[in-house]
Parts: sequence; structure tokens; C-alpha cells
Amino acid sequence: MAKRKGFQLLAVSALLATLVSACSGGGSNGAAGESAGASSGAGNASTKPAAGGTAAAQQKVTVRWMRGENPSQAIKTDTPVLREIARQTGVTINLEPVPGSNYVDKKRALLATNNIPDIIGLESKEVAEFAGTGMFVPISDYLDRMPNLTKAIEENPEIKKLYVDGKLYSLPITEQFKIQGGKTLLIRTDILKELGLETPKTFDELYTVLAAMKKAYPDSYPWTARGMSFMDALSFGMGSGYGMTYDPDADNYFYGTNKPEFKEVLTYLNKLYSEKLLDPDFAVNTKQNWDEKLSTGKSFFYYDNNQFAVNYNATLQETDSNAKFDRIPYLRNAKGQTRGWLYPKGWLVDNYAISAKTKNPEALIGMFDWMYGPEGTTVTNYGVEGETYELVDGKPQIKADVLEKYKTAADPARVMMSEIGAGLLALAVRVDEGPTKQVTHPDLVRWGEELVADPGAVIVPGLAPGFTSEENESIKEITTKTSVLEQDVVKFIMGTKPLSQFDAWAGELTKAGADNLEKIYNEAYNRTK
Amino acid sequence: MYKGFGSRLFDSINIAAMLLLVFVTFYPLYYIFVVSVSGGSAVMRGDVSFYPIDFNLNTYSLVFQDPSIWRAYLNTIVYTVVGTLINLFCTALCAYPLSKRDFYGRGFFTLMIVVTMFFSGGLIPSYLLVQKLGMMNTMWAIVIPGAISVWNMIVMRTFFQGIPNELYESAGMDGASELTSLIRITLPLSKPIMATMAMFYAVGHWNSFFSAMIYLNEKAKFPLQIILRNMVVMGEMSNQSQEISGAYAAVTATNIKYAVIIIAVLPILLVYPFIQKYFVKGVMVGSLKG
Repeated sequence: MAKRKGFQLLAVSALLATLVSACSGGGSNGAAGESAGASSGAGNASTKPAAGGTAAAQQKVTVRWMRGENPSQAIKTDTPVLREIARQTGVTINLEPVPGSNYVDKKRALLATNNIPDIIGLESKEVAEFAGTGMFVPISDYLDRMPNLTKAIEENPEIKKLYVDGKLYSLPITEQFKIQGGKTLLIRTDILKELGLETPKTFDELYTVLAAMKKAYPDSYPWTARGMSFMDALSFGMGSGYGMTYDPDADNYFYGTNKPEFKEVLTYLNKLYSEKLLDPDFAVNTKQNWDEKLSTGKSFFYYDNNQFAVNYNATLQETDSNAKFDRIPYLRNAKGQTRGWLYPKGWLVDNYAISAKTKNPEALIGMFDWMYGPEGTTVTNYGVEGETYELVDGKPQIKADVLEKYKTAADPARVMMSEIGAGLLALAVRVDEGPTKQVTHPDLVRWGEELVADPGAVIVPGLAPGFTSEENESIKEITTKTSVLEQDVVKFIMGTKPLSQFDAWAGELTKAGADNLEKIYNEAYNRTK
Repeated sequence: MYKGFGSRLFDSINIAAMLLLVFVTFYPLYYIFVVSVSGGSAVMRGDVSFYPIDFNLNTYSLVFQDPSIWRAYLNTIVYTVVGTLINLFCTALCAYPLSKRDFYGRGFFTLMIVVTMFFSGGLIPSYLLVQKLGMMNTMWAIVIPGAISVWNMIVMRTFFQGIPNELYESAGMDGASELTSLIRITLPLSKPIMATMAMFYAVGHWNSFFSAMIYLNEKAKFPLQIILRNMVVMGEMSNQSQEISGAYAAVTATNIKYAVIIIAVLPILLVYPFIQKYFVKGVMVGSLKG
């Protein structure tokens, strides 16, 4: 323990010493008092009045904050963002990143022994599971003091799915701006041009295009996939659904796999498969196999996460400067609909919970509300004004000299965000991907804008409705039966199970409880409406 | 000496089979090395198989630029050295009395100890124990709970039993206490088993990440394996299941991952040949006499 205290003392004094402007009266120990005193004159002048009541009545608190660490953005424990949060809200955060690969185990141990730190990053289902034990501060009890969070909930009603027995126990990660991504159609436009093909607009046209590509390049498999990850987006695009799917028109959930529309999806894929237009290994490809096929010109089309294409283009263009994967608009299906698959709003699966044991929950509530508000959003995403960002036409932008510094890094955006301590993978609860937009590949930004503007743009829900524990039990029971049957989807596509058996198979799914599943989902969903 | 056709045929098949076995064992490691020194896009195209393409050491310089790697490296070395010393000390002290035939209650103690091989409290009780002992977030949480591996202790005890009792008797005649016997007779005669155990324990410490991940809170105390695991395993996971994260799927390039793997296994690989001569002897002797 003594060791730990020593480290904290060191950390606190180091923190204060580096503050551009420290608030006065923060001297709880000698070393810190000195440095705070030295710069207190400048400090008071520049404290923003906008930081709500918290700045005036600031109480100094030090808290532990634990979260999983994504390897692509290392979490630093002494960053401009942390210093700025301490200055503006009085909350000094001791960040405790845990490697994401084992964060689940660590969370389990902490939750089961009731040893969670003041703030802990949890997934929504973990919050729901442990909320009943009373170990979290019920956030909804403080909503009258959290105008900014209230506004965020109004903006994105899906947050209501996070309520457990009428109360909100966690702080969801919301978005202010993000580079929209989605499962979409990416095709080698250079090959389209080379073969004089029109951009496909319907699924039948897509088939014609793929067939023409196969004819010109007999060794290729024009469409490749990495397992079944494309099925939800494709089925939805074709007017069906793969498993439990949200129908935006009817505003309810349905189980797509046993509906007649799904037969069309299977028929279509089976045709592609038998004519070798779909990669024969589509179901067993690893991400790496898949990457290889797309970046060596063995395949020309995929229906999945658009961001991968940037890497394929970079690799392809080393040998052929014309080669390019580009996004094409979502296709019109047989019903005349166009349905895209855009990644959900915010990151509602990821939440923060405040421990009921924390000494000063009000201070943390105040800090979080500030983080949901405009000043806090800017600080947690851009850092410190003048140091890491500047205002251009009233909008924050990362300063040019900061960008310059990370230009040579392997992954400039992530390294920069890691150093500043900003963004989703650090501790923003209202994410603004503006800084990423400044450094990332222009194609990604353009695709993001196109996706949002696409007539078929449908943002899929990020969360399943909040189920009760009995409902969870029945869902488990039903899905153990259905998931066995669902494995036949691959057999239908590969033709090892003839499509004539589809109706019988769909009947078995219904018998296994697919209708009940729909009912449970919709009842739970109606509760949150 | 003349060898018949059958004998030569057998030899050549034998050699071929052994070479294949060596290749199968060695190639994965070699592949990781080759990828780690190749260019990123060559790896992505899947061109790399037997020799590096676009040879460069950028991956290594990138990895070493990260100060947390050095820090973690140092931590791993400290945990391994301290942990192994504690292991050897405790295991020998436990094995010595149990190897004595005239030790009172030997069967009972052995049984009690062996039971722990098959039953353990599980994660949550262990966590609570470590917490109540005040070892949370310290090095001791990593090196103390696993101080004695029952399996290794039994192997060591069996080895000790092989030392003739007459030696102890004559030493006792000359006035040696049990402690003197242990230090002056048993340990000098048990170098092979000590080296083997040191190797077992050291590799265990070097590769362990779980206890560090559960019991440590500060990044500055993490061992290398945690960082390695996070880069390698997390990358895989994000690719498969974390679709929600969209643009946040991990982008750690394969060649960088592999460079970290090489860096993490190299020290142990280098130590191994020097201990190996004891290694085979130690394990074999222990098992035969058992």
C-alpha cells in the first residue's frame, strides 16, 4: 500500500507541475502546493466560466477509472485530456487500462467480489446483470442535474434500452460526429471500366456484372466473404433478414431466416455459388485469407465493412496504380426497396458505471455531465485549446504542428489520439471523430458521407432490447435449438441441401420457437418505446 | 561396414521422417520471424512463405520506440528472476522433508498437498485471498500464490529420494543438522533437477499473463506477455466479432504483431540450449526412479 501511495503522490505532483494553469487551493501536499502557487495567477484568469457550476464549487477528488484497452490506441495515464479534466472539473483521474483481450475476466473478478473501482467500463449486458446488486450508482436518479446527458438521451432514444427495471445504471458512449461506416458494397471500379460494365443497381444486375468479371478473369472468384458476416447486411438488403432483424418500416423485430423472402436470398447465393461467382471458401475464409484474395486481385467484390477497402487499395496500387475498390450505392431489391446497413449510432454497448462505494458520486456525476456537454466533448476529443487544438471558424481543429508531429507514425491517427488521450478509445463519452477525420484516408471520409446520404441508408440498432432474466432464459433455450438448424444455411448456399427442402426447414425453425423469439423481442422492445 | 538395402532404405526413410518432423516444428517459428522482417503489403498479399520479401527492420524499430515495451520487458525479467528464486527455495524446502522416510506424518502431508493438484478454490476466492493479504497491485501477487507447483515438488521429492540414505546417516554422525544436510548434501547432488525446475518455473513466469492481468492495476507494472497478448489476440477478436466498433477494428499489422512475438520469445529461446543438458537428465532421472 505504501508503495501505491508513493506512486500516487508522485503522479499528482507530476500532474500539477505540468499544468499550464493550475487552480488555486489545490495544494494537498507540499510539492503540489508549490507548483500550484507559482502558476495560480494565470490559472484563475483562464478558467472558463462555461464549465458549469462545477468550476465554481469545485471539489478536488481523485478517482480510479478502469477500462479495457484497445491495442490500436494505447492508453496513456498522463495526457493533456486528463490534465484538462482535472483543471476544469476538479476530478483527478487515475486511469487503469486493462488489456482488452482479457478485460472480460478481470471485470468478472471485480464484479463478483464487489471490488470495482470508482468508474469502470462495462458492456450493457454486464450492467444489466449486476445492476440488481446495488453496486452501481443509479444514474437516472441524478438526471435532473445532468442536462447534457438528458439531451443526449432525447437525441438517441435507443439509450432507453439500457434502463434496467426502470433505472439507468450506466453512462453510454454517444456520438456527436462520426465517420459513418457500414456493411456496404465495394467493387473494383477499374475492372468495371475495363470491361465496359455499368454500375449495378439491382441484385440481378450485380449478378450480371459478377458473371462478366468471371468471364474476363476465369481464375477469379469475383465475390468473396469472410464467413457469414455479410449475411445480415445482404439479407436485409434483399428485403429479408438473417436471424433477428429490426424492421425500420414496421418498427418491430422479426426473425428473417424462416420467412419465404429468405428463400430468395438463398436461391440467389446458390446461383452465384454454383457458377463459381462466389468464393467456394466463403464460409471458412479467415479474415487473413479474405484480405489476401481482395488485395491480390483474386476477388473483385465484397459486401462488408467499407473501411477495409482502404488497405486493399493501398496494397493493390503498389503494383497497379489504377486498381481501386470503391463504394457503390446500395442495391434495389425485388420489392423495390433499397436497404443499407449502417453501423449504429453511438457505441451503446460500451458503458461506464460509477461504483456505489465511491466517496463523492456528485462530483463524478458533474464531471460526466460536463463530458456530455459541449466543453467536455471538445476536451475529451480534441485535448487542450492552444496546446493540441485551435478554434477555426468556431470549430475545434487539431493544430497543424501537432498533426505534423505524428505524420510519420505507422498509424498517425491512433498514435496522435493516444498521446493526447482523446476519443472513443480513451475516455470520451460523447465522441467527435473530427480529429480522426483530419488525418484519416480521404476515401473513408467520402464513403462515410456517401453512406449517410444513400437513399437506402438504414442505421441498424446497436442494442437488443433490454430483456428480463426470464426472457433471457427463454431466448437461450430457443436459440440453442435454432442455431443448430441455422447451420444449414451454408448447405443451402452450397447446394448440398436442395432448396426444395426450404419450406420444411423453415417449418422446423418455427417449431423450434422462432415465433416465440419474435414475441419476446417485440414485447421487450415495446417496453422501451 | 556393409549395409543391406533394407537397412539403407530404413535409414533414409527414417531421416526423411525426422527432417519432416523438424521442419514441421521449426517452420511456424521461422515463418513468424520471416513475416516480422517483411514489408506490410507483401504480408497482406500472402506472398511471404520461406524468405523475407521487402526485407526491413522497421517493425522492430517501431516496437522498440514504444517505451511501454521496455518497461514491460524489465518487469517480466524481474518477475521471472524473483519468482523463480522463490519457487526453487519453497519447492526444495517442501520436497526435502517429504523425501525422508522417517518424516512423521509424511503420507498425510503428501496427500493434503496432492489434493490441491486436483481441487482449487477458483478465481474469485483466490482474488479475495490476495486482496485480504494486501498483495493487490504488487509484484507479490504474481510470485507468491504460485510459489510451489505440486507437480514439480513431487518430481523433486522423487529425485531427492534417490539419494542414498547412508549419506545422510554418516553426515548425521559427523553432527550435521537437517539444514546442513539439505544444503551440503542434497542440493549439490541435485543440480540437474534444480536446473530443470528452474527452467520449468522460469518459462512459466515468462509466459504467464493471467495473474498479472487480474491482480495488477497499473500499466507500469504489466509484464510483456500482457502487451503481446493484447496486440495479438485482441486483433483477432476485433476482426471477427467487434463489428459494432466499425472503424475501430484493430489495425495492428501482422508483421508488427509477429515482431513482438519474436521479441517476447527470444530470451527464453536463447536460455534453453544452455540448460538443455540438465533438462533431459533431470526429468528422466526423476521419472525413472519414481
